[in-house]
Amino acid sequence: MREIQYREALNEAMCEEMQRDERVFLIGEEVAEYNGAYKVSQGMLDQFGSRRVVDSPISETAFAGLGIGAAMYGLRPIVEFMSWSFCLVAADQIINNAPKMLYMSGGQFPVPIVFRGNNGAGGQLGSTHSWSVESMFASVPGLKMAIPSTPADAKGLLKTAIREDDPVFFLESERLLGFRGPVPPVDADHTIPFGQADVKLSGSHCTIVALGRPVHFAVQAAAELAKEGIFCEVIDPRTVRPLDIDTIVASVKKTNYLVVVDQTWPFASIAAEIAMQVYERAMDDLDNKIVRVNNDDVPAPYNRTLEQEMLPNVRKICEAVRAVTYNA
Amino acid sequence: MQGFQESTMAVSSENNAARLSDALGASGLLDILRQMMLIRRFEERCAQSYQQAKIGGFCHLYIGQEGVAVGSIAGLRGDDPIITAYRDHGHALARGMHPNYAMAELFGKVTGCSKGKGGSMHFFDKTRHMYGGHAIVGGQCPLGVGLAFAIQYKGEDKVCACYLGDGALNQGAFHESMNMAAIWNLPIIFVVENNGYSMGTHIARGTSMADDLSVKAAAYGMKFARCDGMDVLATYDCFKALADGIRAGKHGPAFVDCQTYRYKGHSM
Repeated sequence: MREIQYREALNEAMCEEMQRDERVFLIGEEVAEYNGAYKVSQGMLDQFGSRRVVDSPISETAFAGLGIGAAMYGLRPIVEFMSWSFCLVAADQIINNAPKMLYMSGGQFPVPIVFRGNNGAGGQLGSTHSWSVESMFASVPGLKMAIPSTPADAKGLLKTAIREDDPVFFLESERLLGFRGPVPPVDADHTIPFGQADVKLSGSHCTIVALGRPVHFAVQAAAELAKEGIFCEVIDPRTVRPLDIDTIVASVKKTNYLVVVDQTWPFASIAAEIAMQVYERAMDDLDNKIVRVNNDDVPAPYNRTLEQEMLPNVRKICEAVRAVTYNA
Repeated sequence: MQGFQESTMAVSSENNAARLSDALGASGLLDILRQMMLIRRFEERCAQSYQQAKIGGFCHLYIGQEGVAVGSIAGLRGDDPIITAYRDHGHALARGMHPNYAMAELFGKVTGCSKGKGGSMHFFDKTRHMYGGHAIVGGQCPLGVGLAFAIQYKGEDKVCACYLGDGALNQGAFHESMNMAAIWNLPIIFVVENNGYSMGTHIARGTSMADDLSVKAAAYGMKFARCDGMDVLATYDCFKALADGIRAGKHGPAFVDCQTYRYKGHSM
C-alpha cells in the first residue's frame, strides 16, 4: 500500500468530501492563500476557489459561530483551528451552540460541522499553545470526538466526520503531521466508523489503552516490555465519543491488567473516565488497580527536557506496566 | 468592497412624502395591529402564568418593544431567516408562530415549539425560518453571520435579520461579526433593539458613544439606519428599504439602531 503523510491524509479527506458534496467548505485562519499554517490545506484554494476555501480574519468566535450558523442553514462546514489552543476564545460557540442546538431546538436544527486542528503539545510552545482539549470537551453532551493517531485513521475518520450529522471535534497532532504511513488508494473511499477501536498490537499480559500521539509511545513501550517477557495488548479507541468500551473490556478480561495513557491532565481526564468505565464493567476481572499515565499536573513548560518529562512518554508507560503487573 | 462609500446614511421615513408602508393597505395595517396586540396579550398572560408558577426559569417579556419585531419582520420576506437573543417571544409570534405552540413551550410541554427542551429563551421554528432565541448575550451574532454566509454561498436572494439588545454591543462576538459581515459583504441586517438598558445598566454607563451608535457602523464601513422602534410603520419603512436594498445589491450589510423601551423589568 502507498505511504503518505498524516497531513496529506487530512488533505485528501477534505478534498474528496468537497468533491463529493457541494455543501462542504473549509474556513479558518490562513487555510487558503497561505495554503494552511501547517500546509494541511495545501492546494485546496487552487482546486476549489475562494468560495469554498475561506481565509478568515483572526476571529475564532466569529468563524466558529459562522460555521454553526451555516450548518443550521444546511451547509456542512469544516472549521480549522490553527491550534485547538485557540478554540478557547470561541468556547461559547463550540460548547454552547454547536453540540446543544439539535436538542435545544426540539430536533429542528442539526449542526453537521467539523472543528479540526492541532491538539496537544507541539514542541516547546509553552503553556497557552500546548492544550490538549479532549478532557475539557468530552463531557459535553451532543458532540462526537475523534483523535486519529495514523495517516490512515486521519483520512478515514475525517471523511466519516464530514458526513456526520452531529458536530465533531477532530483532534489532530502537530507532531504527527509529517508522520508517514500506509493509506488505502484515493479511489477507495476509505472511511472508518466512529466507535470502533483499533487493536494495534495483541498481547496477553497487560492492556494498554492510548489515544492520539501517545499511541506511538505505547507501541514503543510494548516493544521494550516484550524484551522483558511482558507482552502488551495496545488499543487505540480512535474516537472518545463514542467510546468503544467493549473492545477495551474484552481485552481486560483477557489480560486482567490495564494501563491507560492520555495526553490530558490527570484530574477528570479521559484516562480517568476509561478507568471508571472498566471498573464498572470488569472490576472482578482485574488483578490489580488500573494505572493512568497522564500529563503531569502542571501547565506545559517551555524547557525541552521538562516538557518531555511532563508529557506521557515511553519510560512512564513502561514503569506503569511494570508497576501494575508485578503480581502476575 | 463596493457599496461601502455611502456609509452611515440614515434612512429617514418621516420626510418622505410617500412611505413604503402606504402600500400595506387596510388589511396589511390591521395585520400589523393584530400582531402587536397578540404579543401584548400573550406576554400579559405569560406574566400571569409565571406568577402562578406554571412557567419556570427566566422569562423576558417583550412588552413595549412590539413595534420592533412586528415592523421589522413585516418589512422582510417570509423566507428571510431571523435570529435573536433570549427576549424572543415577540419575534416568534410576529413570524406567525401560533401562540399555543409558544405557550406550550413556556409550560415545558412536548407540544411546544422546541418540544419543551428550550424554554422561554430558546424558541425555534424551522418552518418559519426562525433560527432561534439564543441566551448568551451576543452569541447569536456569529450564527447570524453564518446564516448570511450560507445565503451567499447558495446564491440565494434572502436577507438575514440578526437581532440583539443594546447590551450585546459590548461583546466581542458582536464586533467580530460586524467585521466579518462587512469584509464579505454578507446579506445581513444587525438590529439593535435599543431599549436603553442591559438588564439594569443604562446604555450610557456601559457603551461608548451611546448617543450616536452610527459610529459602530462607521467603524466597519457599514450602512447605518436609526429608526423609532416605538413607531411600527417607521420601523417597517426602515426594514423594507434596507432588505430591498441588500437584495437588489444597492448596498451591503446594515446596522440599525431601533430605539425602543421595555415597560417591564429585565426578566420575570
